[in-house]
Amino acid sequence: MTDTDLKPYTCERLEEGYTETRLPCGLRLLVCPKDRATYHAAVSVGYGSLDRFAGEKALPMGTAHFLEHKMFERNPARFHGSDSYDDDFAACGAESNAYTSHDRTVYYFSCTDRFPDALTALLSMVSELYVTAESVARERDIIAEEIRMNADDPWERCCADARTALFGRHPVREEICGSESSLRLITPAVLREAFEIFYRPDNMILTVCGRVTPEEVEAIVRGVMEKLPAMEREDLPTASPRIRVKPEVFSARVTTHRPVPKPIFCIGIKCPDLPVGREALWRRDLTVSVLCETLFSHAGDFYSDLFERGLISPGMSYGYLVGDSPRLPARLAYGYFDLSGESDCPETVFEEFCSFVEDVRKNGIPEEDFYRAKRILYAEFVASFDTTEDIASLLGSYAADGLCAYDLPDALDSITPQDAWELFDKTFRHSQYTLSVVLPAETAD
Amino acid sequence: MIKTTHTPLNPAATLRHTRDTRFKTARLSLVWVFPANAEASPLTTLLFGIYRRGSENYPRLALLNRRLDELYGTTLSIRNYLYGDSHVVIYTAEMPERVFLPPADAHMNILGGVMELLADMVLRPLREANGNLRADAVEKEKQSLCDSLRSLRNDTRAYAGNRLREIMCGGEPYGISIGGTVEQVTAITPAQVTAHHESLLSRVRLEVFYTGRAIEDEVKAAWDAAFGGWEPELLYLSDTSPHSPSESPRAHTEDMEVSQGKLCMGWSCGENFATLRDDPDALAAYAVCNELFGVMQSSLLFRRVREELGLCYFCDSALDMTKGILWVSCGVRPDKREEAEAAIRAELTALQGGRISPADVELAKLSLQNAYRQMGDSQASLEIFALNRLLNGTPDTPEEELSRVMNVTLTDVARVAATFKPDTVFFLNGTAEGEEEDYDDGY
Repeated sequence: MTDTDLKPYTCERLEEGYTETRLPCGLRLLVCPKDRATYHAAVSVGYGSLDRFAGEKALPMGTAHFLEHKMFERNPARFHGSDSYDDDFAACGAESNAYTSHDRTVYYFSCTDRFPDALTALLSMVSELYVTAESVARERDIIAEEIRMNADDPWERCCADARTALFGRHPVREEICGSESSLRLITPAVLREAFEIFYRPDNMILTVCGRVTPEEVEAIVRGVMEKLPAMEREDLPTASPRIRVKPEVFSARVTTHRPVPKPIFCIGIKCPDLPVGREALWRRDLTVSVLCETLFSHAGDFYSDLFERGLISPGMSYGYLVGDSPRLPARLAYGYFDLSGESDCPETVFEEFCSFVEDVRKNGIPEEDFYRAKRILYAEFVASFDTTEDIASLLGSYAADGLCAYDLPDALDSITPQDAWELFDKTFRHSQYTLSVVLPAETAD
Repeated sequence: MIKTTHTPLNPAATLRHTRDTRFKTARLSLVWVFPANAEASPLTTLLFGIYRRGSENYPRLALLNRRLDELYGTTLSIRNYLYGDSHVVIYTAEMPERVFLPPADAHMNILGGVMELLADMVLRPLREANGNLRADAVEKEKQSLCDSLRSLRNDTRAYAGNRLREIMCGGEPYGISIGGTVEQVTAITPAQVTAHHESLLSRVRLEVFYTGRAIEDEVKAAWDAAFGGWEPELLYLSDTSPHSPSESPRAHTEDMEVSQGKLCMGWSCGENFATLRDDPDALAAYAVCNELFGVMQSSLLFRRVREELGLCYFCDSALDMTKGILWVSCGVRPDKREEAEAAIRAELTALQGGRISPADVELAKLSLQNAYRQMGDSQASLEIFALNRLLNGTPDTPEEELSRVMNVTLTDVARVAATFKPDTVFFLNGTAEGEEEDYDDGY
């Protein structure tokens, strides 16, 4: 190894291990050697849809996602006429893609050959921005189609409406892609500004899993990153928008009409009183996941009772999200559960939900279900080590939160029925519920 | 080299066992294959849904799901689809390998438990005193199937693709709806489902795939303990025929109140796996042709229709050589439909005329090479490859197929591309306006 410190992490129970190091350029590097044909590499940039603020100024909604689309482009004059990094990935036979979430943008590829070349392309791609007015205008049309595609998905709309109803002024209620109107405000200058602020090695994590050593990966990274011109670096700007996350919901009901054959519902439940600090927030996230699985799994009384009475279609599912952005004040952390499905009688399902919650409040959380839920979550954790892609994604995601994925089994063990009860008690309150419903268009007035 | 063994379990079922210790989870799939049929397939779809609702030992859905949870979070998924002229139903159980469980649970016989649960669901569904399958389970599953048939419209991309298939292949087994129609399902009686259940279990073709740490004897012992005594006859399946091309190109449009239109196009070549069984090199050329046209990252469709013309967010192709059909799917504004359709046709015409760069053909081959090599790292991909190989009657291993792919030339690609004739176009016309709002930053 070179002048960097290599920190090993191991999980004996799963026979897994990886190393982490921070390179002089500031990039954090995680390498998990694995004897598979498939290499997977991902660069996670600490810039997501929540990061709407450049200091005191707001960037247009959808900027992080727009930038994700444009990062694949490059100056053809410098690359023998090639205007896209896709060409480099294709030359390696690699599959590459990217996504933007609330708190990060991730670029990744999988390949079975020419890994050093594909990794070089990935790192070069996130290291420079090349945009023209024409290409930005064209991309606006493409993203507008992405927005329309999402807008036509009634499930996605129903859950997005629930999120909007849970939160008042908060970027978590906004569409990650932005809107057709906000796209018009995203210009080459806006993209350059966002790129300059957020796309810097000390705000990136590279995770690699495959038949490769940390030393080999580091050599490739240095070959790209150390060629970059030195830049004056200040701390990432933090913003302090005048937003307060209230415990109660913004709106208790949202109803829209769309061309659906059967009503779709999403019950949103807002988590109040989120703790400060990444580890505490992660532990809360884990407790939320245990509680969801305990109360709303397909093996539980709530689901099976509604299903067997024909009140819901088989696909009812739960989701949850607890998070924040390190670039925003801790008071803007957010958390919620949602339960979504199809039903001819969404209001009845909501009443049944309220009545089920009251029963749990009266009788307590069934311990058998609580321990069953923990086993399920452990099994899901084990399953996430089957492919190089899943491993890299899991390790990178935990690292972005300053955590180690291998801590999950012990953390899960340490969650007690009392922890779940306390979370239940403060979360499941009427003032924190919202019901979003999409009704068939023909029922509109 | 990881080997797969093949062992008969009864006259109709074969175990395809792969011992592979690289994964943290084991995978068991029961693959049932039937001829696709407009009358029988909806009954089959309904039946496999009814099995999932309860059985003698687990008479309620909650008990069945709890049993899966007890088996350390084993997941049980069902896939129900058409593969050429066959109707395939797959139950797949994914279970953690014992070695990775906490020490107190490491003794658990998860595989045996899963096999017992599957056998109970299929061989011992809930019945009335008169021997019929339970009427309430039948009625609820009928309702559920009707809901899912109506809800197909919620996913406009899948819906438009399905409509194209149904229109283009109308009159062929591949053109049916495996769930039937709402009217058809509503009319089904418990007695009909029961009769279908008895007949289905007496003559089947079942492929049992296992990949994991258990040795073959353990898997066979688990099978014998659960399914022993069940001795069905083997159901013989005939080859899928290629799609009969329409005499002249057809176009259909349907309106829906959504903002994005879905343009789905189908071409047919008159060949398929069965007719090309002795010409595997042609099959390889078709695969490269499709990869270049609309699958690989920098495919012709992606570069031209999305990146250069900015007409869409997605535009891609799929090749179905069970029937010899090339599909294209594109999400586009209704007023840009003609422009998109012309651009897609122009790309195929260029491919058919060989007006493509040899470098692009090499990129398509590299992309396929990557896909073939990655297959070995995924239990699911290996299983699907092995199953399709059985159903298609194609003998090559992934390595042999890849070697043929790498020998394909530009001339081969143009030759097979030229066999595709325009058949049917389906356009789901979005009649809603996009949701325009005044943008107010609010911060």
